Amino acid sequence: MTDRQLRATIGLLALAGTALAAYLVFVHYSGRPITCSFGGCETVHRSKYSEVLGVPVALLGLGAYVAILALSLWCSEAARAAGLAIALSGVLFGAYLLYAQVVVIEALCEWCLLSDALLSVIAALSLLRLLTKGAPAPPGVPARART
Amino acid sequence: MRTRSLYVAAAAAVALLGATVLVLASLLGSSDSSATPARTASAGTSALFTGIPQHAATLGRPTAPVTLVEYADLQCPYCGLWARQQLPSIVDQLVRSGRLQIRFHGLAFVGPDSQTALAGAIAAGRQNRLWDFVDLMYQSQETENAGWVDPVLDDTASAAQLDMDRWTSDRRSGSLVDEIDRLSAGAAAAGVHSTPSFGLARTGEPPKLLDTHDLDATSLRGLIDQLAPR
Repeated sequence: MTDRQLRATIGLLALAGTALAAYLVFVHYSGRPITCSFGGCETVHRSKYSEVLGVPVALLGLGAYVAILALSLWCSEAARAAGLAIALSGVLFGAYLLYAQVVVIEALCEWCLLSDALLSVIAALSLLRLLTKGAPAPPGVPARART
Repeated sequence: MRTRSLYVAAAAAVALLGATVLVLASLLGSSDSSATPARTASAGTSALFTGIPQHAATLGRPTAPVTLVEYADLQCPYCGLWARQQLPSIVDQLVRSGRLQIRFHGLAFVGPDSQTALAGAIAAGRQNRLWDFVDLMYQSQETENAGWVDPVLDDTASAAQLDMDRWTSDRRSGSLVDEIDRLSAGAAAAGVHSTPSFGLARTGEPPKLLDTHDLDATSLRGLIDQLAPR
């Protein structure tokens, strides 16, 4: 994949994550019931693990996705590294929350699982982006098209 | 290449640090259960019951084929534990779908504060918001008879979005004392000796006491399916 393709994919995934997290923030503050297929979302949403020092986890997620989205538009080594750091941090914290869902709360929130999956893919693509800077552009593509 | 490796290492280190800080902050916050005042919990409580009919002490659609009666004292720690740990799943999976309605049968035997709390709950029931009030009280619950009820009572009623003037007048009315006595006699007649206790029956029939104090959604679903096969 070229760096442009990697950035576009990361950007799209971050956009999807932003929409997901924005919905969960809305649910958190509006008090409306959460849409859920399997019935565990409300239990997780009401658990003590849904906040970190009074800040909704959904709001932290929203901030992370927006930051990743912004960094995907920025082409520099530092931006690649920052994007990877944020995504990886989200994956690790998500793993802790998944443990809490399974072992402590004994309920699973499908929105959280979807976010975990999104962050994992973003982290993998961000690592690829940082390690390879993307594959060289195909022959014939002007140098300025490479980003 | 070396620079890239340095960036990867730096990103991994920052990620590890960030995740560690978040986990520690989460553990710190979750160990301080007293830091969950009624107002903080109100959004979650409201979300749990939004869209589910409430009438007096009953939560759920009147057409639900099965009724669960919960015998509880608002000061009883195990009642609070059950309400915080099991009730959300039960409401999510069984009440919201219309399979079950739950009737709160309040008792006041732990101490004088139990009567104060129960009077508040019954008065909230007169505005069809008993379940919001009770859930918020359980979120604020502390050690029995430690004096936690009075300080949280008004905030809880306010967070449950009650008409405060009407609620204050109702909870002090003499008729509530009679109602609490009736509830106590009803529980004794049903053979309730400890809380939480649960009675279950097809809606409209007298409830039979269940031999458990820790009813969860999975076992309750099985019992409902036996009583009212789909």
